[in-house]
Amino acid sequence: MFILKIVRWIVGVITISVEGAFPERFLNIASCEGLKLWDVRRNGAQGFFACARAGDFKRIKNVARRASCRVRIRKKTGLRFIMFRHRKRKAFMVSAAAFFVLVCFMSTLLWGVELECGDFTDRAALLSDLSDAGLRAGVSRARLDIPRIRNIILTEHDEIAWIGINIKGTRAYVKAEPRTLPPELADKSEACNIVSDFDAVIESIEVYEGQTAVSRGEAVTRGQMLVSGVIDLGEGGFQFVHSEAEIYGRVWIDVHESVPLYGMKRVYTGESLTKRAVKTAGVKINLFLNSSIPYDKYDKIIQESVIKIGAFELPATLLTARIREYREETYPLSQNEAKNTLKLKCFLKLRTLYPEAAVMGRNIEFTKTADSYIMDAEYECVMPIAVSIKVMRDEISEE
Amino acid sequence: MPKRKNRKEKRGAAERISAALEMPLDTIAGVYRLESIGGRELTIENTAGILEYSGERVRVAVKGGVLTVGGTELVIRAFSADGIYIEGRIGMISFSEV
Repeated sequence: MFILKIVRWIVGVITISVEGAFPERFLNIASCEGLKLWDVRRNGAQGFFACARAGDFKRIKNVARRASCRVRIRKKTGLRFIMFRHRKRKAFMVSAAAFFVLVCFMSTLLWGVELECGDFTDRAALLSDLSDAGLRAGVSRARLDIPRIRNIILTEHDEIAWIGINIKGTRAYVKAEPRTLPPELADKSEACNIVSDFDAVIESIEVYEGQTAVSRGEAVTRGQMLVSGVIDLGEGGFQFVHSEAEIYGRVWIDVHESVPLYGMKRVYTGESLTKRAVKTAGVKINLFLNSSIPYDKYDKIIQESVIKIGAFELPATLLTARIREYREETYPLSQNEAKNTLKLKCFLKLRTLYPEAAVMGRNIEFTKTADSYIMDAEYECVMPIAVSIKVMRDEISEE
Repeated sequence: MPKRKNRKEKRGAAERISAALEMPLDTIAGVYRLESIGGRELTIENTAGILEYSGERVRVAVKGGVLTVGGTELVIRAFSADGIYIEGRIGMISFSEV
């Protein structure tokens, strides 16, 4: 209905009044003639108002004559009347035409991409890949090859099982669903032992398959067998199994870190520059003339924001680059600062090396040398210590 | 009298064809069809012309009689050679055979 109103407004609408002895006859003849009349309202005993297309007025007059009615135009609305009223204002007409062409052109472009995905994938990376595949603000909607974009994304992102791309108006709505990967299955046809990967004290042991070789509280060395994959059946020989167990041990891990006596810090001079640019349809337009940066050392932070009119997003982004000058200064690191820095470094190193380790205690030694601070930390951790190794059947047979 | 008899017979035949083909009667016999929404909107199809129109009453010629729609603030929102769409507070719809 809204579209119909717009079409009618473009072609022009007249409101007519029809008066006569038999106005119903006018309506019947008009419908037989194929004239489109709407919003017919009674006006007194012998007449009514109705709306019609501006171009039909000559035919309406003929019908009125045949129905012995008098017809008058009461109101004119629509684009053709506005254009006629302003026909002598050339600049206005040219601007209106240019605006119309601009609106038509802009409506052929994609104005934005809205992505709906959970936490299972990197949102920024997915948006970037969509952009590389051709789905980004500013591209022509007619040239979008949705199946190709979908295939590219599904090929590049194994974690995505399904991706839907819907174009509604000038916006693209993308929805991604995660893939549930099958668990990695161990090859149970191969016999294996479980040995310790660390010098440790057994904290807990839970054996699912195989023969237990150690017990809780026992000290073990690196490489010592914890669960055997060879079960002695006495006179019946040996049974080879794929050992499975969950074994936690108390392990002491040494971490060594150092920092120099002097630190380096950035001191901002207070001098800064802001440069702006507009990016649309893959084209960047700089809003500044001088692109050189007069600083020797500087930080550059670029902020990208979609240009909006109210809540309506335009297919263009504003790039704001903030450039801040700084100078580097060395300063003596205090013992407390060095301790805190080293504690953090040691802990991060432990986390990187053994992410599953739960820290139960620590012993720290902090020393200062001629050119650096050194920290030797010993962490007491509870962590998985089991590692599987293949059983050599030939050796067992020889034995 | 014989003329009226023929018409009745013809109507009967159209009804029989409609029943045999399992098609709506209005598409075969061209009888009127009414559709009302909440007493505020009324669509009449297969009309033969408007006989009377005022804000309180609309009389429409249909095959075999006259449909009268009564109410207040009645507006003919759209009409064509074979249908009419009325809006307003519709209080009464009646059919009289001629």
